Amino acid sequence: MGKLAPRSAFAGLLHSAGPSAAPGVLVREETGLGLATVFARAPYFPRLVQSAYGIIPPETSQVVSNGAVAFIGTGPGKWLALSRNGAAGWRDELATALGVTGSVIDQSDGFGVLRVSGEKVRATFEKGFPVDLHPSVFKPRSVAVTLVAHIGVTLWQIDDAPTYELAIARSFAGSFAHWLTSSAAEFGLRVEV
Amino acid sequence: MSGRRLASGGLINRAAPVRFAFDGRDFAGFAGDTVASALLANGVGLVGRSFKYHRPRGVFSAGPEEPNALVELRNGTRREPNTKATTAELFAGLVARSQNRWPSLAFDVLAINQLASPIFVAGFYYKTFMWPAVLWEKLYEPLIRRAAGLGKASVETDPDSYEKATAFCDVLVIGSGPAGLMAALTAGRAGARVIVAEEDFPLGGRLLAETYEIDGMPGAAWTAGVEAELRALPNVRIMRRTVVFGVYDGGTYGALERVSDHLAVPPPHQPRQRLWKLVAKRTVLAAGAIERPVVFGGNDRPGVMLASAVRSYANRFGVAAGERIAVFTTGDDGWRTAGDLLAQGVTVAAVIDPRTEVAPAVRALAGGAEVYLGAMVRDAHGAHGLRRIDVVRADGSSVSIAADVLAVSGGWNPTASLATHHGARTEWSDTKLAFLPGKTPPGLAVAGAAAGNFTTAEALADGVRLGNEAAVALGFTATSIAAIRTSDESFAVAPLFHVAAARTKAFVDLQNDVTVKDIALAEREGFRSVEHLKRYTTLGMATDQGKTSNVNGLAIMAELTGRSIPETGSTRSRPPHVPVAIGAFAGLHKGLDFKPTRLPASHGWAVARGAVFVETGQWLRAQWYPQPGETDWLTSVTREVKAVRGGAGICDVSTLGKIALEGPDVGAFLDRVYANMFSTLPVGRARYGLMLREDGIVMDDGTTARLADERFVMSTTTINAGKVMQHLEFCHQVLWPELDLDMVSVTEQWAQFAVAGPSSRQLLQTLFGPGVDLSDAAVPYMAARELQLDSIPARLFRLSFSGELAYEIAVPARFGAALAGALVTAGAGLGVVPYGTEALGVMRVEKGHVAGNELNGTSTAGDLGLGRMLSSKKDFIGRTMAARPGLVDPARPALVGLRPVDRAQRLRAGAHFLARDAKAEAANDAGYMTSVVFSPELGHWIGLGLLANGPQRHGEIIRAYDALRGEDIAVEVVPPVHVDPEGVRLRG
Amino acid sequence: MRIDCPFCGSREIVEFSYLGDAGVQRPAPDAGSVFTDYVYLRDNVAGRHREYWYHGSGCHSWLVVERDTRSHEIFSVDYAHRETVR
Ligand SMILES: [Zn+2]
Repeated sequence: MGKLAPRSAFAGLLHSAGPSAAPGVLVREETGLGLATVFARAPYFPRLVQSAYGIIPPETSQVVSNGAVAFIGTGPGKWLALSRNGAAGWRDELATALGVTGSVIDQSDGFGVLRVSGEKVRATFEKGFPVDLHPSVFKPRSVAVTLVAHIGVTLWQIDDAPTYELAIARSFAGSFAHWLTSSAAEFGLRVEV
Repeated sequence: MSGRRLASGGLINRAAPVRFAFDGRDFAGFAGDTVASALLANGVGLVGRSFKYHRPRGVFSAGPEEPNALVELRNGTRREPNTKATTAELFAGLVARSQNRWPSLAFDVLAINQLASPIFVAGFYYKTFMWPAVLWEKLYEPLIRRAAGLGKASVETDPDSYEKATAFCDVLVIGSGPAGLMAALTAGRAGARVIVAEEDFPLGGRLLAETYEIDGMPGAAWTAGVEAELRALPNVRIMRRTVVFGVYDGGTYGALERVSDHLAVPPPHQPRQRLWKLVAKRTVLAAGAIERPVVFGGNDRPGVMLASAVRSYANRFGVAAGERIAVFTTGDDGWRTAGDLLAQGVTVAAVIDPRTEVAPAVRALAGGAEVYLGAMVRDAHGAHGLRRIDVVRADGSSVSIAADVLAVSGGWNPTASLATHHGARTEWSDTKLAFLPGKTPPGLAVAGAAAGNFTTAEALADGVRLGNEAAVALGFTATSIAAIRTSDESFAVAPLFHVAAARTKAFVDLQNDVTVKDIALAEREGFRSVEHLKRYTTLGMATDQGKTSNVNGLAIMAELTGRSIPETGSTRSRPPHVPVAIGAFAGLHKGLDFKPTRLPASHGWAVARGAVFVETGQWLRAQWYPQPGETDWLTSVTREVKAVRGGAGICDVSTLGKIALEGPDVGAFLDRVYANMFSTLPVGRARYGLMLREDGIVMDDGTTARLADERFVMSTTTINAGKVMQHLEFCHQVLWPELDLDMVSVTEQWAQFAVAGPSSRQLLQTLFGPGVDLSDAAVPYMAARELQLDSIPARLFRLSFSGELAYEIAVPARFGAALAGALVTAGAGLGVVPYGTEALGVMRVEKGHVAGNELNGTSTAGDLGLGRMLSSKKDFIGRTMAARPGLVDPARPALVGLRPVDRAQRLRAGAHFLARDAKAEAANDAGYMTSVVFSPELGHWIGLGLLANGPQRHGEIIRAYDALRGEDIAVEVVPPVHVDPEGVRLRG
Repeated sequence: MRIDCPFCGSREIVEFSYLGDAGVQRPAPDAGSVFTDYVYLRDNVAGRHREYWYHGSGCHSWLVVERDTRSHEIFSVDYAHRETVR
């Protein structure tokens, strides 16, 4: 048998739309991420995360990152742990690092992740996100798990540009791409690779 | 008819003429006009026919309260009835038509309804068409619909898009008149995040329509200065063309932004309208007030208008509403209409005021015009437009005055309905002669005219005060605003709601054609409460929601019953405050986007193979895969079933819910949520589990596998995946927080395929290669293995839904599509086929497995033949209640198999069971057929059903009665497992 | 209506599911007919009411919300079982 070819969640689903000269929204699928749902199960869990990655998992809806690895707070004692070093081995690496202090469940294929930025990204997100993304409220490192056009989304802010990343359950990628395209088209949406 | 545009003035752009058409005639207006102002400027006074009596009607107001000037706007797919000409912005090429007239506006055949007015009286729906009921559909309804219509909507698909959006703020300011502007400015300067929502296209509210000066500037110029400062504040957002229509819990407001209603066609990628949820910590309602008319005879004649509207047309649009304008006012404010008109050089025919004395400064506004104090307008005359009015003096003498417009002012009604959206009522003020907001929704304060503070000075002060209060309440520091100089207005007004001496029809509700006589009739017939009055006469129930009629109607009822206005009551308003198109509520979610669609990883692969799809909840699943030459589904499905049972097939089962459970207490937890035992499940094995609700009814079923000592994966049905997750989290977080485990859905992580059929092991051996031992000893029935497929983590379960030797293989979803292809390649020599949910269903019915049709929310484990699964060794959810006598009654309908006695006959799901000789009536109902399929194996239709005392009736012949299709056939009751009852095959 | 989730912050009601009275206690396994009350009997409170809400579209926490059923005013929101928060 030949190797099985992977296909990313948003493959073939993102299309540029609207004015192309100075697009207000830029989107790119982040592929090659390792994702895992992590639960803390013992008090020394944060210390083990810190010794492995130099960061302390936030106890609120925040994201903490060391550049390569991020812990995204998605619930009490629950994180989406993200690695930019790829999916292969990520779950096992975390499980080894955390031992019995945490539960680690591979989700690298459970979500598609988009990186969205641009001048009009807030104006676009307003058309779907029912949470306040004003810069005085939602800042770099803020996280929201919510519903956009009836689709579950985990959103976290990367920088002040603003740049956001969003994790969307894989099966919803087509519907989410449709919402994003429709909502951003008036400002111009450019798909980056 | 002549042009009535004044030589100068107004906020229109005279350099930008705009062509438009009304009833097929071409006209010109200017940018900044509304359809109504442009029609008036062209001397068009007659713009529509009324709802019931088809009486000629003209423009009545200059705002959203308009009851008369409703037009059909646009053509074809964009045709929209009941558009208020008074708020519709003029755009180039606009096409409007009058409504409710046939064949033409000037000559309307159904105006004969006026002669039949006795049958259109209050309550006519209830009285006239009571009997015989059969005539409703054929006669009454079409008649009423033709006679009493309100324009026609396009029946074609709306070509435009709609959006929904959410915005948050500290302070929401509704309205941008003097009060709203100052509230926004004060809160904005203090640093609060402010949203100003203005229904109109410019900011300013009444300031645009008046000639008052503020800080030495005309209102419009002063507004422009404030607007410029607001725009410069980064924390202030101005939303024009946005009407707030409802107040909801938690500081949530519904608003509609008319993004493109003022354009012929929405710009590319922009919606027609956008529905907003505005979430505000504090709100200042500064929606102003609507002038109240006085009801008199013939008060619906085109040319009878609100006095404030006549001022709006003159001052804001540079239009004289008529050539000889009379003013009928019960208060000082109406006199300003005379003053403004005279200043513009328009002839004022007379000023009529029922008060015998007015202040000299007010009297001076009428200049040299004739003044009638202590007098009222009794009747207005003129067929298609006002020609003269009869004025009656206190002594009973009357005089007839020629006029083509009568400007009427009976005081002002605060626009406070939003303040009553949380169930509060407004309160009548005898000093203001108006209903004022009482208790308001949490966080909402009312400013300016909406609070009954009608003067500009009061409105400005209210705005400053409430803007500051809101800001300070949110932790900002109050800002001081220098005193603002305004001209001094007086709002003295006398109570006069209708002229009792009227000799002709006097209309209270212009849009619904409700007259004073209708109210009197309602009173005589006992419908005296305002809620009854409203429903019986339809007063205030038209699209304008009675904005210019409710208070007058109420006052007339008070007079008729000898009660005060507060004793008579007031109606509460509910959202929406203005009509909102259904399209706006739907937003993006229409057609195929009605709900999100979930697609499994193999979807594209299935599309390429020509699959037909079926919706399963939000999922699209392949239902069958037609081959060339196959024209009906049964042929395709039968072929797929035969191929599976004869060789091998693959089916995507990724949509089933998958929940990962980890921790030392998972076993104990599963024992409590499943009816059967799981803590004893060895690592590397899977077990079928049955989950009950606490009331003892079956909730869901599926298999759960133990991958490692503390690591399990549960499968649920596709439909119940979310519900089961919620239930398990309740059990964990609320019932047994002491259990140490974690759980999360991994449905999306794994693409999972059933590989079924006698050749399935061989197929998988080809896929995995010789290095993996798939022998029965290594992977026995109900085994669960984690292994590698080309160094990809994979899971292999030996499960069978089809009754054949079968497996389920799972890989990370990114490899799902590729795995589907690889499975087909691996099975190339084995006759492998992809099969869909339909073949899956056939095989499960052949095997007597229950599914959604049987797990119907009323069936118990016993009903499904699974009673032995209820463990007696432990407690579990539903255990106690499942033992209730009613749930263990052997007479309950329980699972059986069914076959037609005449094997050529087709079975029907939903058919009810009857004993052979029983009459087909509910009392004899013995259960029903839950699932039917054509069994390729047996060559005839088979079914599953729930039959009273079913398990004791194997071999009995009963009837399957399908009243819907008129079928009544003999069926044989058999055990539910139709094929391979010994289960030899799955152990292959 | 908006609920102030202790983890996620203020969210609109569509993100939550309702399960009713939070005052009921699941009876002991052999409590017998008391289960009937537990499963079926609820007061229809007009006024302050402590009730279960599930933030299914957010953090998946089960919450206890004290709410006035007449005005929808919310007095308190907390995790259904604080001890599960580690
Ligand atoms: Zn939450």
